[in-house]
Amino acid sequence: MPINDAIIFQNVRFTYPETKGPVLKNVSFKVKKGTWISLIGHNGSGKSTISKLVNGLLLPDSNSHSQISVAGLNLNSKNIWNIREKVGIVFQNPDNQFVGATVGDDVAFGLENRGVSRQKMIKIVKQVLSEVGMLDYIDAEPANLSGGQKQRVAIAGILAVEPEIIILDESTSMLDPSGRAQILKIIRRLMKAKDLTILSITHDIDEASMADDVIVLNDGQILDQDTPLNIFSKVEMLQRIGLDIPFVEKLKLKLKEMGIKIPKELQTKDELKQYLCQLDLKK
Amino acid sequence: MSKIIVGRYIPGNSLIYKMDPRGKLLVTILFIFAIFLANNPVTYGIVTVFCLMAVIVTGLNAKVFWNGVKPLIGLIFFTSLLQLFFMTGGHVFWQWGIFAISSYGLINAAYIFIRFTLIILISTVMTVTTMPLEIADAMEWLLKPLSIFKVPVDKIALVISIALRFVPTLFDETLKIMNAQRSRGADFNDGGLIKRAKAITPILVPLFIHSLETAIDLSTAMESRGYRGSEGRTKYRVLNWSKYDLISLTYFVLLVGLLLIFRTH
Repeated sequence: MPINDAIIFQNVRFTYPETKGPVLKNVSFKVKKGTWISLIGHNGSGKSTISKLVNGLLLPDSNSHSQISVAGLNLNSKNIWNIREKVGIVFQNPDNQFVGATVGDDVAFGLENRGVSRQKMIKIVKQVLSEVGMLDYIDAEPANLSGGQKQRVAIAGILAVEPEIIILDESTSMLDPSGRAQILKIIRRLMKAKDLTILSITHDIDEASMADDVIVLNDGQILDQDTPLNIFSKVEMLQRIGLDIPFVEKLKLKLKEMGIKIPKELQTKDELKQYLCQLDLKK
Repeated sequence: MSKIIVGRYIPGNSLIYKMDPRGKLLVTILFIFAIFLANNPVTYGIVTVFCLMAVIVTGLNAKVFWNGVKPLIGLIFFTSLLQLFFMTGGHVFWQWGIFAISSYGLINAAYIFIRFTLIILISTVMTVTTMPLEIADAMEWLLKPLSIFKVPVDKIALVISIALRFVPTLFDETLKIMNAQRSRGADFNDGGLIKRAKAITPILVPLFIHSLETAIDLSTAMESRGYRGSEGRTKYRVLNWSKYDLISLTYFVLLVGLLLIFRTH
């Protein structure tokens, strides 16, 4: 039986030792293999905790009903290293995840840990760096790179070990708009080329709308899981839990205040543009 | 700023740059010992010539080496003067109380002066032509024999390389904190000793917290990339001996040979 779900969470509860209540309460969701899932939610809703649970940096509260399964492996203390082989995480701060003293060293770090021979390492490092467009910087030191370039190196370091799942833990939140767009473009391309599963944790609406599915997290519970278009049309729900809404929806709300009714089905910028142009013709 | 980021390393492509950092480190250390073999004008002349040739081979501006000597110039003159005034023996030229200038004192002062300058010059040649990272690699190689005594050389090497990697990052952070505190009215350059020491607190406390947070983030990132200790790890960065190292070794052996021949016993 082929495994179709890359990540399965079943009734997962998690409590940090220093906090009173649980951060995650009975979270259950599935991520299909080869899909892009975005996880959105306000600060402190437990998004980052989920990313750390996926590769065993944190272990869930012991509970007989709960289960985490990643790439067909059940998460337990024996399996942690096997799971980490299959999951790559790009973290938020580009500075704090750069281990090597040069770009080449950093990309090779994961390979060194796996005991890959040097000949093979040199080949892989060059190949993955060219995939993210950083081959010219192979001997550069992190202090001389921009944030976006550092994140590209981080992605290269993860690609080098050929994971099945890539988690973007707010990876673009410290980048400028162009750096962010570049990173997302690279990820999108690599996802298709290598059949990767992407779990992106984000505040960025544009990043979330690139996903196949969006999971909305609120106070440690899953509020909704649906396609981005459906999620973002639930304007009241998003606003109630303090999330931003896409530009199109904001414009629709403003137009509504001015007495112009826009059909609910219109959800992309192009559709709205066309509709507004036609509106003008009718008058 | 960029001056500090890469330490005192100055990029270049002369002969010395092509040498293996291990060879450079070893020869530099041995050279310093070899300087003490000199004990007469001829041997001092030989050492000086050899040292100056090494300096010339770097192909760098003389100003670089002057900058290396400058911070220690006070010490050099102080030590030389002590030799000059308090060394007795030989022909006495001038005497006043306990101070005396004798022929022995003059010669010794000159020797000490040369010795000091050469040591500084040769270590400047080393640090200026070798990247800090390469020096760390070379140090790891030199420490390797200690693993017999269960010294965790691999872990020490990782610590050194991470420390070096974070020097520029923490430096940037310090500047940022200083500017942030200045924008709130902090003054770091005024007042007496105690006032200045107190002014450091608003820099140090945030810097410590930042370092600890960085360390936690970095260890999380390392773990999620499969780091579980130095066992079973391979190395991406390796050093290669080249023919240039043979040249430097021959050069050094030649120097020691000449010193031993012309040395007075």
